[in-house]
Amino acid sequence: MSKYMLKRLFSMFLTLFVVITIVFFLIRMVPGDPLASMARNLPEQVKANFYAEYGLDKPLITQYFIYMKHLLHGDFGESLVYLGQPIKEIILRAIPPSMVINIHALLWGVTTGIGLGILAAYKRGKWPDHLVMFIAILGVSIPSFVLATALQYLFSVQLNWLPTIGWTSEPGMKQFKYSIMPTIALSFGIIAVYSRYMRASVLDVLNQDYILTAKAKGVSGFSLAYKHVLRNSFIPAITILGPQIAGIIVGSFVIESIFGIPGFGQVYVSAITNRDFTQILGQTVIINALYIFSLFVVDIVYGLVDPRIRVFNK
Amino acid sequence: MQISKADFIIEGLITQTIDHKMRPSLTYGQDAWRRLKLNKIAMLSLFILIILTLMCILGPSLSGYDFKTTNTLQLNFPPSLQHWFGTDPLGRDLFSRVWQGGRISLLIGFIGTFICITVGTMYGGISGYIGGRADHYMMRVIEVLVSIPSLVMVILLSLYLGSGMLSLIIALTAFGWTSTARMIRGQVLQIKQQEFVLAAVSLGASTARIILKHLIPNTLGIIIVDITFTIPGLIFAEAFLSFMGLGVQIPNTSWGALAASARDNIMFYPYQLFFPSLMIALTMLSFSLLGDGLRDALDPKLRS
Repeated sequence: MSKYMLKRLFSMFLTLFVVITIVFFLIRMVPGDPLASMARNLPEQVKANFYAEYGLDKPLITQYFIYMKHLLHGDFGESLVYLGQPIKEIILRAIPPSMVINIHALLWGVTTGIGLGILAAYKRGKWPDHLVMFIAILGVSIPSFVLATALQYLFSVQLNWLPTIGWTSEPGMKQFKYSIMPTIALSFGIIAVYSRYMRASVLDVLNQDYILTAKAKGVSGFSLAYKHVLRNSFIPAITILGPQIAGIIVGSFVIESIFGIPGFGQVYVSAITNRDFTQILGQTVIINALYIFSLFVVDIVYGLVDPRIRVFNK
Repeated sequence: MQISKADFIIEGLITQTIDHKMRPSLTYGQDAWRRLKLNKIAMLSLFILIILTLMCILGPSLSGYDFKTTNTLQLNFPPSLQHWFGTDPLGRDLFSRVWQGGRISLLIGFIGTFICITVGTMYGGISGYIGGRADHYMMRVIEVLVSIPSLVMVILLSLYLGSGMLSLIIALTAFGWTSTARMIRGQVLQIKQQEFVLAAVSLGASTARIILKHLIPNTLGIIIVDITFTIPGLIFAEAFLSFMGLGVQIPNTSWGALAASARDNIMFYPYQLFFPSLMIALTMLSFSLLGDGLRDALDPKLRS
């Protein structure tokens, strides 16, 4: 078991390393740099010093090694747009709003999705099934920015119930009001995915022989549904839950931009528009590390919940 | 002495009844089409998609307005007999623009899918058939590509390549082929164990011939289903890029770009958002329903 884990851990870090390298060079090949507009009117010597201060005068490959060295010490560098601002602080500031919205969306989306999926599977071929499947397909058919805009139009412009955009960092009623629409917009897609997944999973379990055995020995009703069917159907759902938990911190680019939430996603989008190399890089590294780590955790958890999958003995 | 065929009679054989019991033999395609025709939802989706495609081809010339001609006297007109979908803030006819945008959206979907499927099928086929160490490393490459959140990569690539149709397609396809490759590889791993592959090998067929003529045609079912999911996926991704201002550039437009620009005026002119969004949703909906139907039709074993 530990040998497998170590191997997995090693390949995880290798993947992360390759990804960081690719992203580093990809970002640096993007034409235009944020310092150029600031340094335009400076005398040549000052300009050279300016670039040297941020290490941009050295060859790209040297810059790469310097960056990697700093990264290993947990230093993400400084923003090139908001000079003097460490990336680490910008990111730490942006994480809480993203987390609030995404935890709401995930809790609401996963529970509703799973509930609807189970309902659809048990009522297979009847109208609840068709309704749930229709919602599920609709959920993946409407772009989230359209849904978000439609929500703003309905609840803010027409009904005037909720504030259109904005955020407050203090938890409370005001924050809750700001979080309602982003939560709905984000959870719609989650509901769609989970209800489809759960329906297929429950149907699959219902066809298994052990369900027949359980029925034959007289287990019925709630006990059958909970102990035999649902417990086993949750397993596939874990696979898609992993990346989504990473998404709690990462947030959503589109939804956060639309609702003006100063979260991880919005900061990332603005860094892209400003061509802020170090910040794009720093945030991409975090996104990737979280994503790869979540896949790793899913692998381990999968083996723990389902003894049929013996990943550890491979 | 002349003996004709008619002089011989096979004793005890009644040909008529055997002939009558035979069903007409159907090819794979005919069989799948026969099953698909029974699926009403899939047929309706197919019908909607054909209509949408036809409208994208004919639509821009139907209304009599050019999609990029501005008219300062008719700004933000609501839908009327004159302008069927209304006009935008520059007075351009939205009916023309929606279908012109559809051309771009569908084109990106079709071309992008063609590239993704071709690359993915080749990659997966080679990786699966050759196996061993090559397979191991090829899968590692995919693992790296998959672990980069695709939207992030697409954004970075389109920043690097600049905006425009071609760079958009490159950015979208550069990472889009991995899921196809994985799927084809899995399928090829199963098929290559079968006897006809062994037969081809012993007859001296080259590796390329076995992959192209024997393995890939046998994965056609899942390729077709994959196509129906890749096209809307790309249209969706393009819409998101347009929303972030990284999509097609003016004066050209796409459904995503139209929806994104309509967001600015949502307070006063919601219809400007409604039409392009409706087209995106319809396309997505139809493709996924058709894909579900095709999966059942092409491989009845997979029917859920």
